[in-house]
Amino acid sequence: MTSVTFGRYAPYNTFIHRLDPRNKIILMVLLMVTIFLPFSVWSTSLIMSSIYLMILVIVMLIAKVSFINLFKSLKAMWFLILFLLIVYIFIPNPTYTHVAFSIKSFDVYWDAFYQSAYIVLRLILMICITTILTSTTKPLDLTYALEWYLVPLKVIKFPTHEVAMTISIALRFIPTILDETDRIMKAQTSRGAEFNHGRLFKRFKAIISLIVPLFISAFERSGQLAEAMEARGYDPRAKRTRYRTLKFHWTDAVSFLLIGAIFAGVLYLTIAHKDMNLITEIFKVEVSF
Amino acid sequence: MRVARGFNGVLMPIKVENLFHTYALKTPFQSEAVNGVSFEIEDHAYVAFIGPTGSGKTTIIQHLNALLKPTKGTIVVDDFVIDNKKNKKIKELRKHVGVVFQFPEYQLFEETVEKDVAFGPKNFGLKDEEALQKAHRALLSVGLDESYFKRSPFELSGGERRRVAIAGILAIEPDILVLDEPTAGLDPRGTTEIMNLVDKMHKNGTMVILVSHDMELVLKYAEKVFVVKDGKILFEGTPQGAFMNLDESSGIEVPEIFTFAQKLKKRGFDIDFEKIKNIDDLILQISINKEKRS
Repeated sequence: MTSVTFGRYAPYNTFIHRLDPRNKIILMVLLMVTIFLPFSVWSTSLIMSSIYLMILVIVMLIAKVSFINLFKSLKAMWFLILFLLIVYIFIPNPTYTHVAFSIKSFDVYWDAFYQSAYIVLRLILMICITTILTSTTKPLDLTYALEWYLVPLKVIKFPTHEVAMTISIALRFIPTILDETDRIMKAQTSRGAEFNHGRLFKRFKAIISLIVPLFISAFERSGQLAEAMEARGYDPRAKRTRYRTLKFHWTDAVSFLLIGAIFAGVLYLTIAHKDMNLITEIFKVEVSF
Repeated sequence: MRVARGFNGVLMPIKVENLFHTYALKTPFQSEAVNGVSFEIEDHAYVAFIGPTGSGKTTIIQHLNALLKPTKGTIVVDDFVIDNKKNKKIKELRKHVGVVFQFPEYQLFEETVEKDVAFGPKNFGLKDEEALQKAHRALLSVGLDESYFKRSPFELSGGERRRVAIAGILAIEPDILVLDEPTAGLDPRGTTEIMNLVDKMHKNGTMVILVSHDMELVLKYAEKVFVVKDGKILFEGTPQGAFMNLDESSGIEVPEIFTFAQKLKKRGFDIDFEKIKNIDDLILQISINKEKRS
């Protein structure tokens, strides 16, 4: 299954892989909030987004994230870009001020282009961040981290362990079900089914011939799994220990401080509205608009 | 007697040259499954691929109807060339090379048995009625009578479901039948029935390619075996030759009858191993020895 390798865990051993998953989740949240902090001027926002992108590319290089798969997923965004452009151009907005060109009496504003470019850039940044997280962290570690964050909810009788178990079982079976999909697809292809081309009705029929067996085997498997777990005395309420415990290293502290500093800095600039002056003074850019 | 049609009304031999296959190429999950395999299979032959689990047998046979494209090398089926380039005639090839997968009962999906079996012929362009006719014929040939036609495949037993699934391939009427572990998980009776059916297909002119861990079956039916290990062909020849020449490191377990014959030979019996395919052959050999002695 080459089409689903995007975002999949890649077993390298870089220092980003070794970071504590709890820390990585926090860092991801911090970075995402940072990206969405609005600057008062569009040019500042664009420049800052580009800086974030550069930082993320460096992180991705360190973490050995596959760029090919990332680009493949970005290819599908052409449609989104076009859609955004149309929406921003044709929906009138009184804050738009800079006319790019006019078609008869209809004004097309530069702002529409900036807006859509900014949204697309932020989306790319989001994809980069989540890819870094998922391709450097084992799914199981992610659920452990999630469970750890859910622990405070135990006070209100929230079934944290059960939820974490459900998530980790779901994650555990993704590759199994993908293998199964591959197998059934091949079997049906041998019977002349066409998944990628052919008439719409035939393709629909081909997909049915894939989904029905998949569901049947998934249900069968879940029953078997439940029995196997019960046979081994699984009790969701029992107290248990872990084979792998999560540890917070000094690299975690350093990366947390670094990203925390970036977050705090950007937060200060946006709240205090220092950002406009910052750009004009430090970069000596003439912000003419 | 049905004569193999082939693409141009001629025979359908298979020729594989220097086949390599690597899964998940250029990713951290990269793994070499087939490392330079070359072989030829004559028309109407009954051959078996044997070898330990993970040796690459399944990967090799999935190339025969272009479910997998080779990383390197070519496969020629009749005059149809499969390489790592795109090919528009693939569907035509799949009509001629039918592959029955491991545990094929998991591919059933239709409401009734006959509809499920007719799925293949319909995909290859037959009209509903013709497809149903072919489905009925295929179902009868696997030993499922009219009473099964309108039943749901999901209420059948495991063995019956497998026969329905095999009928699903037979209904396409392929000239080359590829079976990946067709008897895995079946009871002895189901095994005999399926193997007899395959033998009948072979006698009617279909080329049969079998992947199996059951050496008794391989000895009984196959004319030729390819022993596969670590993505390479270790041995090519008669099953008897394979059992005589290979040691345990090949991962092949010699069938009981053959071990028995070998022990008789050690005790001074004159045994022609090449003639032993089943118990009857062995008895014949022993009685020949008896006659010679008396």
